[in-house]
Amino acid sequence: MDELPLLELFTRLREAGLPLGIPDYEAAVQALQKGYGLPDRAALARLCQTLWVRSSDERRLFDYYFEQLIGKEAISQPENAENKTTTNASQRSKKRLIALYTGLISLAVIITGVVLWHNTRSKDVKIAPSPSAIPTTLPTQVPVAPTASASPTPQPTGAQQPSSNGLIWVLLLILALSAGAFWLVKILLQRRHKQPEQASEPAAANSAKLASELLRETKDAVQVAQAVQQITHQRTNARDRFLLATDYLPVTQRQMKQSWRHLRRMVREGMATELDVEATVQRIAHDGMLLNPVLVARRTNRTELVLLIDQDGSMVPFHSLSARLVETALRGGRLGKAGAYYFHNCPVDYLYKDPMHQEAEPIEEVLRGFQRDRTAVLIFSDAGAARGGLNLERAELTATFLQQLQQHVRYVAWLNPMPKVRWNTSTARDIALQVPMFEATRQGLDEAIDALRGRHHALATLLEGQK
Amino acid sequence: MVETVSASLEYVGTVQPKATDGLPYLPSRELVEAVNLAIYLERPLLLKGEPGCGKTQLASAVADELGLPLESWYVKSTSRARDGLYTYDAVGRLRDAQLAGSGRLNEEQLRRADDPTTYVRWGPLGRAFLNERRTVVLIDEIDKADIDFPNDLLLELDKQQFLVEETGEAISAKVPPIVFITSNDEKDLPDAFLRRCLFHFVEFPDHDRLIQIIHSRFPETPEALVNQAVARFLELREDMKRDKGESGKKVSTSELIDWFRVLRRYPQEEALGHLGGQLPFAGVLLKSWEDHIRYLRLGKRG
Repeated sequence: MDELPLLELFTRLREAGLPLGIPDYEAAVQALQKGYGLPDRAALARLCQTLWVRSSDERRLFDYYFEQLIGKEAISQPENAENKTTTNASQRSKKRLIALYTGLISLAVIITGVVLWHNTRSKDVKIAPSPSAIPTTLPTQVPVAPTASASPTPQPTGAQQPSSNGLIWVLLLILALSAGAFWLVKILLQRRHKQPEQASEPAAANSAKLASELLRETKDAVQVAQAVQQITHQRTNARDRFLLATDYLPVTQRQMKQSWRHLRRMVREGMATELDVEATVQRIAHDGMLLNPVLVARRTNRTELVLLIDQDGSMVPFHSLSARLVETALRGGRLGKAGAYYFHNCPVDYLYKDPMHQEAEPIEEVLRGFQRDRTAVLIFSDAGAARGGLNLERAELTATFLQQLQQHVRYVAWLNPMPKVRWNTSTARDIALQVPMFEATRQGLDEAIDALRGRHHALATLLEGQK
Repeated sequence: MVETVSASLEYVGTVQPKATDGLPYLPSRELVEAVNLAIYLERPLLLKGEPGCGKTQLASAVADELGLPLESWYVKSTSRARDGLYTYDAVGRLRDAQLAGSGRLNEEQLRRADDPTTYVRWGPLGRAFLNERRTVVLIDEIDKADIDFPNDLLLELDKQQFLVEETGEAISAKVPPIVFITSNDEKDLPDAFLRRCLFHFVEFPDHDRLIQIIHSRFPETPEALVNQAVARFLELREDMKRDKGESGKKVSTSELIDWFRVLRRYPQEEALGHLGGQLPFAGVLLKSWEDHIRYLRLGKRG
């Protein structure tokens, strides 16, 4: 079992963000010992899936890594199950073969050296082949190289009459040639070894239902995981990382839902359904016995959350993040009411009910629907920090809108997906002076929600923190 | 003892339930494997999948086949984690105290009322822990409850023990139960909870399996009708999939079974005639007005 890259798969999955612990790995080993997942690759995939995968997103990730890591072992897999030693034997024979080839080649080099030595003694020559000749001679020379051992002197004919001072050149050339030949042999050997694998792989892949169609389907989950992995490994250049990380999701959906929960102003209203224990006890004490329990209305959340979301332009990379914000607020937030409006750069005259900017509603009208003490407005925008630079017009327009907004609602906060360091050098700084602005991280979101509940720290301290 | 029990339990999936409603259940090979793994590792098995693909029925099928008792816990939006373990009848105790105060209880009743354990009512998980035999527990639609609900069950599922707060009684499982948990993905489950579960995604059955399912439910139906009905059903499903994507509501296995039950009431020729034209008995399959308009028309054209 040690030959399966199970641990490798496990660590890769962990790095990709699957919530796996050591007990999970132990469980897999335990199950394998019992005989689960042994028959073939598909069974192994199923076993690991059952143990380690907990959602369809994770499954895509799993398929991806499984294909990558275990896929290569597809051929040795069944052998493994039957008999471990066979793979060992085949590896050993492979090594022996390589050793043989290297031996033959070094033999050929020595022989040609001796022959050349002989040649230079007997003949006088004018020109040594220049190093630039190597690429031209290489192709013709290479296929011969493996057979060189059979007919001991193919090379001397290629290296024509070297002069005594060019001897070093010739020796260098031969060394280079033989090294090249050695590499080619090695590559050929590997390829030959791979061919049966590749032939048998499609069948195995089909049976495992891990078809590569699924791979092509892999969307954000895999990409994000790769990006995360690359960042943790720190060995890719910046360009690759930028290309792969199409989604920027610093806060998970569950975390968002948990944060939304803190946004509440509880009021008892509606039908009296809950038992008021204290009042009931008092009533019993007063009456001398229990006549009726005292009921009160349930506490419900009266907060109305309005999300104002900047869409398009510099916000394109954050679309999935904003979509998540809206979705969690509407679905799992347990808010009294939640809604979202969209704008581009900054709200001017109209807000839009849809991300495509189709259904417009005048700002005046939207604001009229707000309740001063109940409505909380969270603005999600980069405030010009993504582009950088100070845009006075944008700052002014935003300031006007904020003033207008603050006349209608008491609780306003701004969530900025760009990191704080970028604010100082852009329009965001001006805007942050007028409204509490937070980074779009878990902590930032929590702080923004605190601000929406009416207890944010003074703006001044926030700005100090920036510097 | 546990070892011997788990060693002897092997779910095959071919023995059909007889005790419940007499309906056959045909699990896929992968599902059977996952069930056995869960039994062997003594971990809960989390089942996800489209609504109506038989997640809930698995538990009773397993219980029937292995001849084990089944405890079902249907989670509601108001469920608390403790409800599955026990509930304490505080109101009953208060009432008894009142009656005792006014001297209207006899000796026997008084003795009962003095014992605080009288008012503990065991929930499904609590009963499974107390049972001498290994019990199959179904926690149905766990995602309906509050998002922190699963976290409150961590200790109970992990250590297989809990404490009755009111009486101070510690209960630990005599035999580890076989736990099945279903989820419709309405809410995300917490990572800590997921870590302790095995996971299986119940796939929608393919064409052959659907035919097999229909045959096993309605053994004496002509081949032609089954084939035609399943083909028509899959066609509708494909259309829905194309229009709504992976996440939209699509027709499910259970709806197919209901639909077929209606179709079967007609003589074969008539039923086949129905299938040829506009989608018959559309009310069984199409559950929204938009679906109704869209797919009825599609049926006519095809």
